[in-house]
Amino acid sequence: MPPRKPFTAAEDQVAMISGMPDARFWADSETDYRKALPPQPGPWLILSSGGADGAFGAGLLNGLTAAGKRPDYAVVTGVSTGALMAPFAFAGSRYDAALRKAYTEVTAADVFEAGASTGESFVDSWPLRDFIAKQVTPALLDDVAAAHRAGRRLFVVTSNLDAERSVVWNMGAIAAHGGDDALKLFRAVLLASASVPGGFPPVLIDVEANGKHFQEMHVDGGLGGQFFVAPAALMTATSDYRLPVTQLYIVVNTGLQPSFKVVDRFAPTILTQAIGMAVPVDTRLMLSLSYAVAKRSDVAFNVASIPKSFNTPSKGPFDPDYMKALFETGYEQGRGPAAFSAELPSYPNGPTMQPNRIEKTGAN
Amino acid sequence: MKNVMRSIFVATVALLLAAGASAPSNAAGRASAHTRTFDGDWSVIIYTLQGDCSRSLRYSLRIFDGQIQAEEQNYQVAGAVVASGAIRVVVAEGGRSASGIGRLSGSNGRGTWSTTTGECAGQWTAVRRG
Repeated sequence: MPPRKPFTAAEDQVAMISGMPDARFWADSETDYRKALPPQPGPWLILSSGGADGAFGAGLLNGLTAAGKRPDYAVVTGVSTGALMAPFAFAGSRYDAALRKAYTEVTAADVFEAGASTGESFVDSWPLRDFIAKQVTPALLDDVAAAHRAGRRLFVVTSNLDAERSVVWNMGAIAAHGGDDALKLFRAVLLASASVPGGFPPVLIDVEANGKHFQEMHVDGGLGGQFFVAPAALMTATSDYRLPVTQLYIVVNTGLQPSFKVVDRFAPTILTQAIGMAVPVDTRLMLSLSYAVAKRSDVAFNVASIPKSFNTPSKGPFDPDYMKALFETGYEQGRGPAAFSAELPSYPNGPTMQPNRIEKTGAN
Repeated sequence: MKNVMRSIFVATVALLLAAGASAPSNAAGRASAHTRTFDGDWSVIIYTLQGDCSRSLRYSLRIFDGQIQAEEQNYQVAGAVVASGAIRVVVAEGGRSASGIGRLSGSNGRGTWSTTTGECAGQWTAVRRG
């Protein structure tokens, strides 16, 4: 890989997208966050990370439409796979078919290519880049821009790896700029938000600070949290911040139950299992914070997550049969009377370590 | 993120099983007439039609002087393509292996593959990317 152009923390602190000063803000900036919010309160939709399990959220949104319970959300936020579906959710139910298609017909071949080390990652993500380019059309951008002008907001989170800080991208503002540069940036942000570092290559984004041009390295938004509601300082138990929201809807696109596996002594496997353990923990903690913030804001808390009963096996990455089954699970949940729960998902109450109680799985 | 990483792992390892899908033995390749007609970078998609292997995977291969190469360090690839476009590859790792046969034509290719144990089998397609 060629060496990167050096820049300082001070330069990165004030770096902007050329010609689009409103394209983004630091996720820890309370001032910029408040400034970016819509002028009127309304229902918010928060879409979490989850990879292929995003099929659950896509199905849920389709089911909500079928049930006539799909408002025009005042704010939609997305992280990782949540980011990929966020523009469609934001643009409205006329994009439900596209969402269904994307999450039930995609295959691993549409997402990554293995076999050639990029020097930055285990696999190459050019198929996902091309897939995003096909899905995120100029027409979608126009619809996102129109909703932005109407006062609604679409936020996507990436992780600025250079700064070790999360960045919130104001996707509606980007779309409103129009043109090829906006379309290119919009797609690049979505790719970055879903690019697990080490697994997928990072996305380098052109920025400018005080006339100096350089590139920032952006990766999966999940590094800074599996979903985004507000800056961390506003989410803490000691904050008195009240969300300007009428209803808070959180869609958790990842299983929250432990997944047993005898881990191979192989770096990618170890890393995968480690992340698989950390993500549900992080998600649950963030849900707890969000629950508390909603309560102190006198806002209805609503969370939808993959039911424990879902047990369709996945035959490899992005298995269409698995994703279709998960989509249908989400669809039925969205269409039914209990699409969301007002309570936090329960923690598993595991059995004690009783050596004599090991269940036998075979003839022996 | 959890599942994407899981996917990456599966892909990395599953290649050991599935990637073999696209060609024959090194010895056979060397015995055939060399051709540079198909030299370059190829993107291969493997489809599992039988068995519990990954439903589809994409991987890259490079053909140089008619010999098939892969940059991966975690598995071994052996194979070759001859002037007619006939191609044969074997991929192996950790005692597991798979083989594939087929034909390249211009900037495309297709064929069949199976694991040595017969656990999985299917088809593959290829597109030249460089």
